[in-house]
Amino acid sequence: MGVEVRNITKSFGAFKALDNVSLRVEAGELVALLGPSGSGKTTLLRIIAGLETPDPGSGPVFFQGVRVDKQKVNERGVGFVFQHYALFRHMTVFDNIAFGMTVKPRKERLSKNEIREKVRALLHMIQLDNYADRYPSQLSGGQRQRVALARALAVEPHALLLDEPFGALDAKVRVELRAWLRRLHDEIHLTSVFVTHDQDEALELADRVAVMNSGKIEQVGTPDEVFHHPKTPFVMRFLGQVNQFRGRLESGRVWVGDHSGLASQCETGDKKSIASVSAGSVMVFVRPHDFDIAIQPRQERCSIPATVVRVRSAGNVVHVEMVTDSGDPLNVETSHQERDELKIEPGSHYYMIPRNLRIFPADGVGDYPNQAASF
Amino acid sequence: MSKAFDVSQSSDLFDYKAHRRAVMQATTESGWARFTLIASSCAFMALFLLVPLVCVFFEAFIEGFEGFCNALTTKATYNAIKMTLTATFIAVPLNIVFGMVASWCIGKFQFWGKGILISLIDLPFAISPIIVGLLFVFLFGSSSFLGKWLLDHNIRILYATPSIVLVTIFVTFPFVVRELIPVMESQGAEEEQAARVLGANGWQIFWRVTLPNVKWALLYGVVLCNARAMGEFGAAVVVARNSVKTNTLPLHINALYQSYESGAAPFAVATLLATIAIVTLVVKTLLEIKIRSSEKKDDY
Repeated sequence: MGVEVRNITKSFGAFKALDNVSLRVEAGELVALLGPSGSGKTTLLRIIAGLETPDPGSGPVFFQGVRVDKQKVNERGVGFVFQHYALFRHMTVFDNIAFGMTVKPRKERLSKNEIREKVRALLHMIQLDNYADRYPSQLSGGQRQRVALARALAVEPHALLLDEPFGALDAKVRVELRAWLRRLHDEIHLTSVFVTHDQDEALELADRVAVMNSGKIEQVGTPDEVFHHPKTPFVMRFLGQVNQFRGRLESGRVWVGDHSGLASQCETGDKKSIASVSAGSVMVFVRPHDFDIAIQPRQERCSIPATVVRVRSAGNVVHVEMVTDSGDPLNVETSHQERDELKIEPGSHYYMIPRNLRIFPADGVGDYPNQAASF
Repeated sequence: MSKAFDVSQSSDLFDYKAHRRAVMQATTESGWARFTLIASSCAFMALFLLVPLVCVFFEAFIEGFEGFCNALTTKATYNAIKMTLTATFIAVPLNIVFGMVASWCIGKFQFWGKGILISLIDLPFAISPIIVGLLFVFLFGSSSFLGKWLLDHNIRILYATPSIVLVTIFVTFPFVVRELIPVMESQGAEEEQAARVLGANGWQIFWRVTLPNVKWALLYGVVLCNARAMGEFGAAVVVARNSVKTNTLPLHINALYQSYESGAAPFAVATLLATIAIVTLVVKTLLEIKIRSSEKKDDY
């Protein structure tokens, strides 16, 4: 086992940053902590590192089965990459990377030559062989990021923790560095946890994603699991665009306004049977790409009548902004081919039939209106 | 790892100098106005700073080189130099230690009473040195409780070396801290945290991360602190009470000047302080250049 935390709570004054959080990261796994700002993801990361102390009464922290929460941060042997890198500005790239090795007690310290060799190897790994004598101020953002990573790896940590590792980089560099980091992880297989607010980053990079919201972990799972089978409305909303309707569950049917379909065609949050959701008002979620567009309503399917407002076809998919007959905005994604076949254009009227319809009990689900124009 | 990944050289070949020149041209005043302003400030500087300084050196040599040397080699002058150096060599290191500790607390942590602490540090700037001297006289004088206790135990503070050292520490107190606080604040605590995660202990963090990051600002503060310590007059004159033993350089100059057959002597001694002032100025300017170039390293 790589890293495990149990029942961690952390408050800053009256604000509860973490509320009884437990997480298990297997050895060699790359896990993303994904959530909006203020969800507690960075606090959790810093507690794992030992940079923050959890509230008294919190559970233990384990590294490779060894309890470390009584150890100080400099004894834990973690690699931490700070959001703004925190490189030592008065040291060269070489000295930055060597720092962790040179502060070791004399007995454990490598010889000067060994340290030099190791730094050279790390510089080669981060593809900055010729930059040993530069200062951080002379590097680009992506280069600094890689130096910070090499510095963290130099001490051969038990786990690598990265706080918004790509947050301060521009979009192109971010994508490149992301792919590079994934390849690197596949080579060295170091237990790693990274914090991000960017769902694409989490879904692309991580083996598993822990989605966090207001101090709690809402769901942990592979990118496929959290994206295709969200357990909670928050996860559903946070990962990708979603259309949301108020609905009713009555005698085996799901009603959206005056239109209904068989409830057995729906999925619920925990892959539980639909019978476990008590009848009454529910929230209905449909992703924009999960609609069939039909001219006529279909038998036993929830067919929502809607009119096209705007069509945006620049891109891989066609974004269709619609408004339902009951006046709710509706976002739909379709293919260029389908658009041409159906001649979808502003003003035309269709029945929208959800292929994948997910329902959650309405209580406790915040009312977030569909965003009409923000794909 | 493929070589496809090459984000190494992002092109920010922006010509800052040319840009600045362009902005200057667009926003500057007319040549006339610039000339008048620059000339008047130069004239002011010459009249109030340069001329007096030249006068000091001129007066010092009015009795010839021999007179100059005689004035500098008296026993009293020797004592005054010794006293000034003693006070400075105690006050400056103490201020370095205090300045590092206080600015570190203030710059890197949030705590209750921080504002009050900053105001207290500025106190010596606000109080007239004479008042400082009087405060110490009240505190250690024979009329006070502390003064009586000291007298009973035969410890002399007032009108002796310790009081000179104490007032010097008091008046030079803010110089180092004041220089360090903004630097510590702007650098934040992330580098220290990074060092800690990498396994460094407190001592290593201080010597290898914190201190190197503030060294130029620290030196700048020390230079100012040093100049102030050597030049201190107001508070010293109260607690020294014209005793020959406790004369510092400024007090000695004053005493020489007040005596009837002064001649070139006070000016000769004054050249010592003036020279220190000039050296300070040069070092200060060099440090400012150094600090500015190290600040460039900061904005990344």
